[in-house]
Amino acid sequence: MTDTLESRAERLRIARLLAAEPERLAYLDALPPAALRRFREQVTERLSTPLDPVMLRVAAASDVLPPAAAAAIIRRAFGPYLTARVISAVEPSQAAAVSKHLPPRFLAGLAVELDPHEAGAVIGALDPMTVSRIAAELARRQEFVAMGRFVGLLDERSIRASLDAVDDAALLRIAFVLDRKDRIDEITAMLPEHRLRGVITAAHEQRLWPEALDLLGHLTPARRGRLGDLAGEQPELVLTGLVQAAQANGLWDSLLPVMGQMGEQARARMAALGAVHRPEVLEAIVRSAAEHRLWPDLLPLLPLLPESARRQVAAVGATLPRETLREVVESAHEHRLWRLLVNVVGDMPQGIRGELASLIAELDDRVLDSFFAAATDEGLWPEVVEIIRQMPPAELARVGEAIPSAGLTALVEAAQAESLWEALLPAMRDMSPGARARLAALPAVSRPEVMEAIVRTAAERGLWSDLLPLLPLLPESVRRQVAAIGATLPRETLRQVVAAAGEHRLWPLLIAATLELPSGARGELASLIGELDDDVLAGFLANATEEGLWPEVIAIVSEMPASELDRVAAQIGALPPTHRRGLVLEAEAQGALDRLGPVSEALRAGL
Amino acid sequence: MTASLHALRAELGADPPLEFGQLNERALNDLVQALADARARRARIHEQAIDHAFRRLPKTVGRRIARRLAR
Repeated sequence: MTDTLESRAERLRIARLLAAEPERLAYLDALPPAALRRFREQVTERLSTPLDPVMLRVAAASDVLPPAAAAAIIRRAFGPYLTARVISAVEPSQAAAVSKHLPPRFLAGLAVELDPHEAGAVIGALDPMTVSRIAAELARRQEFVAMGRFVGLLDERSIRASLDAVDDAALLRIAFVLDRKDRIDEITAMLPEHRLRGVITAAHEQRLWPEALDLLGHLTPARRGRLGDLAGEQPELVLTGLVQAAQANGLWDSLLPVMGQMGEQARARMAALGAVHRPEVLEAIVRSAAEHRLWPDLLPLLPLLPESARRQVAAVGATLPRETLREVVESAHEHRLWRLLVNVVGDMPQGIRGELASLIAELDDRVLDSFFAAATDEGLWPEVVEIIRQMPPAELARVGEAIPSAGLTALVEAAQAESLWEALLPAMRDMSPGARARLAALPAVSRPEVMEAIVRTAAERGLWSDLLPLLPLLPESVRRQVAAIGATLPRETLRQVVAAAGEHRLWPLLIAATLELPSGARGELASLIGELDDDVLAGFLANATEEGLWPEVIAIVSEMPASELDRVAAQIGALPPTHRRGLVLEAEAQGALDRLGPVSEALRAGL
Repeated sequence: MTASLHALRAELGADPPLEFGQLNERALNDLVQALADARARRARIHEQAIDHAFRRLPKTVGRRIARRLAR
């Protein structure tokens, strides 16, 4: 039972004790149930009046009378109030025998006054028929609190007999104030299906949804689901009433677990209700799930909502604190709800998607394993790639390590099938060197159509700075294949490659890639390097020579058109003498000194 | 402690749970009144029940009770 409902039930008990209208004490609902229970005990104590011991002795003396005679004296002289006060002094078997001679009205009055702790033995000794008669009379008087006190003391036969004596609405009212809520499931199991349907109808017609939700909250998950399904079969008007009651009474923490246990059909009907789609209702649902950790109940509902409602849920989710979002993620892991979670993430605004992605990245390896296993098993890689892309680079490096090789292969297949390279290439750049190397070595990556897709995506989306670091990790045959594809790229695209290498200081990688190209394309790229702005060209030469790439620099400069050599020569003069000396030696070795004209002179100047 | 909380304490004969301090004056006063009414009603029922029993019990038993109550 939720605190809200428990406080409300306590308020009904206190109201009965004080003989006050329950509505008058509505202010008590704001207090926690434990405080109200303590207060009720204090009031009970305060209202008890000491009884003269002589009265008890008189009652005890009735043990020697025939039951019929004792019953007559009790009826005429004691009345229900005094009888209740002295009953503990009477032998239980005598009390039970006497009760058979008392009319239901008297017994009902007695039950109202009885303290269950003192009269347990007597109650237990009553036969089912007598109990049933008392129950009918108590229900007629609407003494639900009194009934709730005693149900826990009855055996199964007496309960079954009593169930037939009270109507469906009374059942809900009694269950709500039952002292022994742990027996609700057992008692509900005794009800035939038509009674269960009747209970649902009564909840709607007599505005007893809070009582019904409380009852559902005390059932085993399976029985809760069964009753939830019966509710789900009701007309839309009834279901709307249920939703409105949950909203008005702040009872989503009671209704969500019911919806979570419903079958798909009933849940879909609930999710389709207009009353659920109202922004304030969706907000209350999400906040209740957050407060009471009901994500396993809420997540299965989300795919059934219309898109606008899903986005509303995602928007509310985006306002939740980071710690709550972490609970959502862990709950998805614990209950194997990754599919549902990644769908919700997809509906979230950009900023919060990154927040969730970083939360996923922070998960321990065991949880990450389950995440990637779900991505493979359930075909979630397209969504997962989107999430990976949002991860901070530092986290991504670690996450990449956690993806098993089979997962990486599935990732590549998904990227290829769903055209996800645009998202995946930047993510690959931020993976750890180990993960990147494993990815590059996968046979799936080496397939010609995959490599072609990767290179074309890099060309179309300007992702050269993401692709270039991958190239040295590829097997040689694949690198040649990349070069062959690169050779078919238009000059403008190659210019972008060169610009990206300059911008991201990836000259060594570009140089390596250039030398893989067939001679025509290599010359094209070399000439593009020669056309670079002076400062970029200087950067190329400085970076490459610092890295000791003298043979490669000479090879590329040798491919440049003669018209560019003057500009190259001007920049070479700024290189340190040791680098120039190395370049001279390399040019001699390649027999290129004569062909390099002004560059040769610049190299040798001052040496 | 507010006056109304004092009054509730007096009517209850014990300190109410701390959380009752969250209730406003109006609610506390109402609770005091409800409790006072209940106590008065209870005392009346008790008195009437004893009186009724005294009158209806066989005379010998009734006299013993009367003697006992008179002490």
